[in-house]
Amino acid sequence: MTPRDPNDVPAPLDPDNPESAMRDARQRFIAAFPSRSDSIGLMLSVVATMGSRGPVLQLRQIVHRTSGLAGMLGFPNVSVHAREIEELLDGVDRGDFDASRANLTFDALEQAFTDDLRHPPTWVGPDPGAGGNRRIMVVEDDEDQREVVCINLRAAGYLPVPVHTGDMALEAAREQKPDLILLDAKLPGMDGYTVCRLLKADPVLASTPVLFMTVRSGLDDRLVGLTLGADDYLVKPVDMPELMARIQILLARRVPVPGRPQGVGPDEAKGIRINP
Amino acid sequence: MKLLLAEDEPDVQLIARLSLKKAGFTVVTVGNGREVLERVGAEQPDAILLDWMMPDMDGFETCKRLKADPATAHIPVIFLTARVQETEVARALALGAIGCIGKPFDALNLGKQVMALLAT
Repeated sequence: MTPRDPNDVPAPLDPDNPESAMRDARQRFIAAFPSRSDSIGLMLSVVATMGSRGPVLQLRQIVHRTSGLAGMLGFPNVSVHAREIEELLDGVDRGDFDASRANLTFDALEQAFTDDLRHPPTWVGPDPGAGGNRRIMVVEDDEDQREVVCINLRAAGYLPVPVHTGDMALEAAREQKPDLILLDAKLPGMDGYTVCRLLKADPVLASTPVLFMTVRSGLDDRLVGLTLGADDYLVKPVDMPELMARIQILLARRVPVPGRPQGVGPDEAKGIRINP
Repeated sequence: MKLLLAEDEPDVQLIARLSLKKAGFTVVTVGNGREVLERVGAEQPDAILLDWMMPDMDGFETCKRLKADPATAHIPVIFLTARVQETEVARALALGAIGCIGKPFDALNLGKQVMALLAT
């Protein structure tokens, strides 16, 4: 161990500190949860139709791991429901797998994630919002809605950047370089879909997560949003705790994982030539 | 005091290792039961922590083999398991383990729990 200067600000990631490792692992768990949960849901539906010829072993492994990790990382209810699914899977071999109960448990598991996220354990630290002064751009024409979202963001420790129209959104994004963009679909002038497409076509802004908000809830609409490159999608009226949870998930995806390559940036890429 | 910890999930392994290290243990980590059997002779741990469910060789099989080998039979084995049902605990004890620590475990207090089991 290298001696530490007592005046030194503690590093966010101390490789020898279990609490720090837990916080780091928790961020990774949050970031991976949506895809993990998608896999579980998909495999459950396959197992429901194919029985023991389905991916029972893989599903068992993923719910087992989810349960173990969730419990340790401050998601007790996720852990309980993942365990329940694991136990229900015992029924596949016995021939009495209760698919509808498994589906209900899966829904409960997804809900539990949002609930648990709102109640972080003490070791996560004093600021559960973990806003860390990150900038969230709020592109919303309705003044009341914009204000409500901004107040909630501020309360969670973020720096909201309010923008009134789609036309101003691109310019503002280039200037302010937000960490995430909340984008209303229906805007006067340039609508949210066009803004999203242009954001994602801009090499500097393309990696900024976009969370789309719309009053319409049709699947087509959701697909349009995601096809244009939005990273997630919320239906209005927006539930504030859910919004905060989704923001946290999207931002967690961007947390660099130490020791793992983060891809090649434009500067590094210049030095690399493939088949010159 | 040296512990041999077998756990396949990298995050659980890392956190358990750090937590045990902080509690004063020397920790050697492996990812499955087969590696436990390979390393136990050279490492001579004072106790072995086994995850119940691991790929390749699970905790049960590993424990059975450890207890069947006169060279390793004396080393206390503790199970880390998501299933702390009575039947499973009984099964673990019947195999010669000294106890079970339920997962999800309180990772920050893992050292104390191991200490308590070893003291009994």
